[in-house]
Amino acid sequence: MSDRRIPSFNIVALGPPASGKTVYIATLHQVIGGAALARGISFTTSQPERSRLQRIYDQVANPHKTWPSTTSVGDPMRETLFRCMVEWTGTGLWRKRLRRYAFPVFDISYVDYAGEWIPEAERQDPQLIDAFYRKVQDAHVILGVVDGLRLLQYLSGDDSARDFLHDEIRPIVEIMRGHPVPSHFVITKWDLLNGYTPGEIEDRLLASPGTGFRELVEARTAESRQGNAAGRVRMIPVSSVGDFAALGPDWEIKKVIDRKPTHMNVEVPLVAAVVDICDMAQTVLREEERAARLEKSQARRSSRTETGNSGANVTVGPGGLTVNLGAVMAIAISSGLEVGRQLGPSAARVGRSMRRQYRRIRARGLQAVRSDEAALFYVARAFRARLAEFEGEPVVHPDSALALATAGQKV
Amino acid sequence: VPSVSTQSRSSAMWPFVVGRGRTVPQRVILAPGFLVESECDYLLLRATGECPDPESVTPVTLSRKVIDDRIGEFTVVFRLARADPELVGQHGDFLLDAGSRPIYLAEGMILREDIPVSGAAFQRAHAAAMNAFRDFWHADDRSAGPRYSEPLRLDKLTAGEPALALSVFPPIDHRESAPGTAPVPPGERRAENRIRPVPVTLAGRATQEQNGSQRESGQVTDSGRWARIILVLAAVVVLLAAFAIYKLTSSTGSARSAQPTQLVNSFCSALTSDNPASAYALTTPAFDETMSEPRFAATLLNSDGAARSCTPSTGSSSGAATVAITTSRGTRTWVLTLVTYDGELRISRIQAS
Repeated sequence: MSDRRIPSFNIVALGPPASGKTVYIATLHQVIGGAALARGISFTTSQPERSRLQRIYDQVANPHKTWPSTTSVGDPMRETLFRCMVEWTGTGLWRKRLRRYAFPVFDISYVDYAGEWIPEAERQDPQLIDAFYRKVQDAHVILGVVDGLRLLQYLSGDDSARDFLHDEIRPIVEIMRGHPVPSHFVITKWDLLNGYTPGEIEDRLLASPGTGFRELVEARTAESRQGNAAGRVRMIPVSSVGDFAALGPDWEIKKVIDRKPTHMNVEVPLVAAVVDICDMAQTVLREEERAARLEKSQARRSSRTETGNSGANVTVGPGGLTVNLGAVMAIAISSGLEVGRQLGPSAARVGRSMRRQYRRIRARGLQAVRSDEAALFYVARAFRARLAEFEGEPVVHPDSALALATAGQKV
Repeated sequence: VPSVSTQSRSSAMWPFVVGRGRTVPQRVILAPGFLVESECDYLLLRATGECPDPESVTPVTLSRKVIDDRIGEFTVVFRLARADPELVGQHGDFLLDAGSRPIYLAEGMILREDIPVSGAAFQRAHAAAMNAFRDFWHADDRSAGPRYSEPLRLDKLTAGEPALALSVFPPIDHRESAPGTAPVPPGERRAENRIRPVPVTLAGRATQEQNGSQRESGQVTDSGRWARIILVLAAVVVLLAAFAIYKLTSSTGSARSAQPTQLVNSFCSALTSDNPASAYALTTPAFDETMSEPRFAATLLNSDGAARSCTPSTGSSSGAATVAITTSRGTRTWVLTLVTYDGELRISRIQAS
C-alpha cells in the first residue's frame, strides 16, 4: 500500500433519542462492507468497531431479541472510521501471474452519540458535549436524522407528537443553519410511513412555522445560485430493516418473526455526502486556483522568474509530477471527465493521462483499476451512478417541492 | 431536603437511579441533594456510562470513583439491570420506551468514603430507587428534575454482613487541572492500534495512512533526507525505464489504434458482443457531452442487448468510416467521423446515412 495521503471526510448525524442513529450505522456497515455500490468497492473499519457494529446488527436482525438498547448519555461520542477501498484480483500488465490490487481511496469518519445531547445539552457533562460540538464544527457533512415513527405520529395528528417539530426538527435545523456544509435529512424507519411520499413530507416541513426548515432550504438554494454551493438539501428516506418491522398497537414496533430484514437507500446518505463534499471542495479549489493564477501573474509582472509550479494541485519538481489527490478527487467526483481542464492549463499532461485512465475505467470497469487515480475514478463513477439512480427513482421525488425549488442546479 | 452542611459525610450512603421514561430521555431520576443543587448530577451519567451490555455479561456490582473540583471525591456503587415491567403494573420480560426499546436502569448508592457495602444496604438503596423510578414512569414528565435522595444510615443495618464483591472501573477525574480529562472512546481504549481519524479539509490537510506518523515536509531528518534523495533517484531511473518500455510498446499499440480499420473493428466487436460501453469509450469527450451512454446504446442497438451483426467498411479517407449494424428491426448504415484525440483515433460523430 502506498504512503500517500488519503482524503478524509467527517460526517456527523444529528438526531433525537430513539431516532435510529446507532441502528443506521450498524446497517450501513453491513451494507457497505460488501460490494453494495459496485464490484470491488468495499468499506473497512477497525476490528473493535467491526465487532461492535456486527453485534448491534445481529441484535437488530434477530427476531427473538429486543431492539438494541439506547446509547447511554454517559458514553463519550463514538467515532467510526470507514476506509473506502477498491480491491480486485487479476493478472498483471506484463506477466500473467495473478496478483491482488488494493487501493485506498478515502476515509469516512462517522460520529455516533446519545441523542439526548442536543435537546438536553444543559443536563449533560460539559466535557462530553464540548468534544462533540468541536466535532460538529469540523464536520464536512451534517445528516439530520428524523425518526420515522415520530414523524408518522405527527402526520397522523397524534397527541404524543404535538412537540415533534419543536423538539426534534428545530434543533437540527438550527445547527445546520449555523454550519454552511452540505446537509441532508435522513428519514429512518421509512417503511412505517407507507402511504406518504418524501414530497408530501417536504411540503409539510416547508409549511411548518418556527422550525427554520424553509429558511434553511431557501438559503441553500440561493447560495447555490451564487456559486457557493453547500449542496442542495436532500430528503432521503431509508429503512434499515424493511418490513421486518411492523407497527403494533399503541405505536409499538414489533419484529415480524417469519421475515428477514431488508434495506432501502441505506448507502445513499453516504454517497450524497461524498458527492456534495466534492462539489463544495471543487468550488473552493476553483477560487484558490483563480487567486493563485492572479498572484502568479502579478508576480510575473514584477519579476520574470519562473517558479516551476503549475498550479495549486499539480507540482512539477525533480521527482516528477505530484498531484494533490484530494483535489483531484473533488474534481473527479463532481466533474467526471473535466479533470484535466480543472487542474489548469499547464497540467495538460496530467489531464491527458487522467482522461485516458477515465476512459479505460469506463470501458473495462474494475479491470482497469491499476493505480490510485484509476481507483478514484472507479469510485467516483459508482457514486455518481448510485446518486443518479436514487434521484431518478420516481417513487422518491415525484412531486417534491424541494426538488422543484432547486431544479436546474447541478447535483 | 438534605444539604451538604447537614449531611454526615462519614457515615452516609445516598441511593440513586438513572434511567429513561416512556417518552422522557435518559436522565438522573434520584440523586443526593449535594449533586443536584450544585448542578453536578451529570457526573452520575458519566459514572454509569461506558459500561458493558447488561444482557451480555453476568450481573455484577460495579464501583467507580469520581473526582470533581466542586464536589470533591465520591464513589458510585451500582448495578445495571432491566427495568421490571411489574414495577409499573405491566407484563412481559421487558419494559419498553416509546421507541420499543428495552429500558435499563443504573441504580445503586453514592458514598463519600471507601467503605464496604453490604447486600442489605444495597437492597435499601434498591427499594428507594424503585420507588423513585415508579413515580417517574407514571409522571412521564420531561420537565421534571431529579428527586432528592435521603441518606441511608449504616447504623440501622445489620452488623457483620459480608461486603459485596465489586468490579472496580477506572475513576473519572473531572477536575479542570486533571491531565487527560477529555473522554476517550472505549473502542480506542481497547485497541490502541485502531484507525484514528484526523479531520481535514480537502484542499489543505489530509490524513496520514493508518499507523503512519504525521510529519510536515520541512521537518525531515538527515537520514530521512538521504533516503528520500535515493528514493527519488531510484524513481527517476524506474520512470525512465518505464517510459522507454512504454514508448516501445505504445508505438506499436498506437500505430495499431491509429488505423481506422482497427478502430472500426473494435467498435463493431463491442456492439456485437453485448458491450456497448466499450464502443462508447471509443468516442471523444465532446461526443460524450452530446449523447449519454444509454442513449448511445439505444440509438445504435434499438434496445436490443447486442447487434446481430456489424459490418465495417472504411472509406478512402482516414477521417470517416461506415458501419452497417443489423438489429431486430433491420439493418442501418452509420457514418462515423474519426478524429485524432490525445494521440489516439476517436469517433467524434455518428450519423445515419
